[in-house]
Amino acid sequence: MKRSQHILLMFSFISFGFLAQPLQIKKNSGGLISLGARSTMSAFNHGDFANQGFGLGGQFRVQLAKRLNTDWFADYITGNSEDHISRTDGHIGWSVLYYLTKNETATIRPYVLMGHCFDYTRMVDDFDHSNFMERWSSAVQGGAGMHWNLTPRLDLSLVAQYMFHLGNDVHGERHETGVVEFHKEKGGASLEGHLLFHVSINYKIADLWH
Amino acid sequence: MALKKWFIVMVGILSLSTSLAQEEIYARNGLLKATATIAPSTMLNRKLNNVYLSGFAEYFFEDHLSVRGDILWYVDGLDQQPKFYQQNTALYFGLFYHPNRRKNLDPYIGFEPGMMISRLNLKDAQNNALGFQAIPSVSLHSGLTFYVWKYFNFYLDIQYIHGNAINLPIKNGRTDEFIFSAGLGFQLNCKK
Repeated sequence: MKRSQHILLMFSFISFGFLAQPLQIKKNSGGLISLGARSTMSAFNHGDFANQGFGLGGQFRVQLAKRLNTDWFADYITGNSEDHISRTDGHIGWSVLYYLTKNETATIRPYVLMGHCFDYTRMVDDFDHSNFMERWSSAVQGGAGMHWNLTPRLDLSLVAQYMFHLGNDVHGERHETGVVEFHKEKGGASLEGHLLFHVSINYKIADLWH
Repeated sequence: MALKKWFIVMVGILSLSTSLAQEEIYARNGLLKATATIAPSTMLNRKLNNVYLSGFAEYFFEDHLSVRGDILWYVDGLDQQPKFYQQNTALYFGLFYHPNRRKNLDPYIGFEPGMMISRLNLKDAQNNALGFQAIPSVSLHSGLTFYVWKYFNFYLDIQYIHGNAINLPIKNGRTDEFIFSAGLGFQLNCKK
């Protein structure tokens, strides 16, 4: 067995052992660090459900106080935009979560969230991949969600949020000739957005302070 | 039809095994499981069946909860008609819930976010073969494990995967399919 395989095997067992250890909470839930993975369903075009996307993402959480958490995330989302136009979105950003209930150990813990995001969008003509348009922009997002605490260390979280992209609006249209023309509407007044639904699993790895 | 027969036979074997087995709780905190098998599938958005090599590793960190990583490697299509994939490999990692720990039988459900790395058997408008693409995907599982001995188990798993390929000259790029797998699994309890 190669050295790299030994290291991988050793790392796997260390990871499993780490996973099974009970977490020592120092005082309260402030200072908790979590790692998670999530699936995302995206409804593009100002909430129009006709053009859905689907994505994979990851996140880590840093809880600042008993009722305040932060969520640092990255998502990769693909889907269809218009007739034979494909769309890829990349998001990286953060959200602040405010818990609506005081009980830190409740099985269900609802919250509201607000945050910022940087994003990359690429739209491609399915029949001519050399015909595409890209955009970098920023966004703000807001929504609500809940943790379902399956164990003291592990939760399943459900979130619905709306993300407003601040910047140029991008869209494409296929003419009767079959040619796709992409448009980037400049001016910064556009609030193109999409509705995002996330299902994530998160595991608390450490309690750093409090 | 062949899929149905295969499924019925596997359910029969598991049912028979249940009646013969001794009673002991194996599905508990500290259990490490792994297996690999051949898994046929049926696609939901096109009349095609595929064959995968599938494998997973799973660890119980609570009596009722486990984490599991799955890999699927596309072998071939079962049908003579044009295949949807040239190549396809999928990786998933997620959480499984095991509600019932009575006897040796361990039913479960699971949720795994993941990614498919696929090369589709299609050509673009310029007649060039399509390249690889990363397809975000999710996998939902339902199944049961029957522990026949300290180190061996029989299992039956039904997996639904959802994904959507893009940049295609066809309208529907959905990669949704049901994957059926069953076979012999191996386990080791890391805690007394």
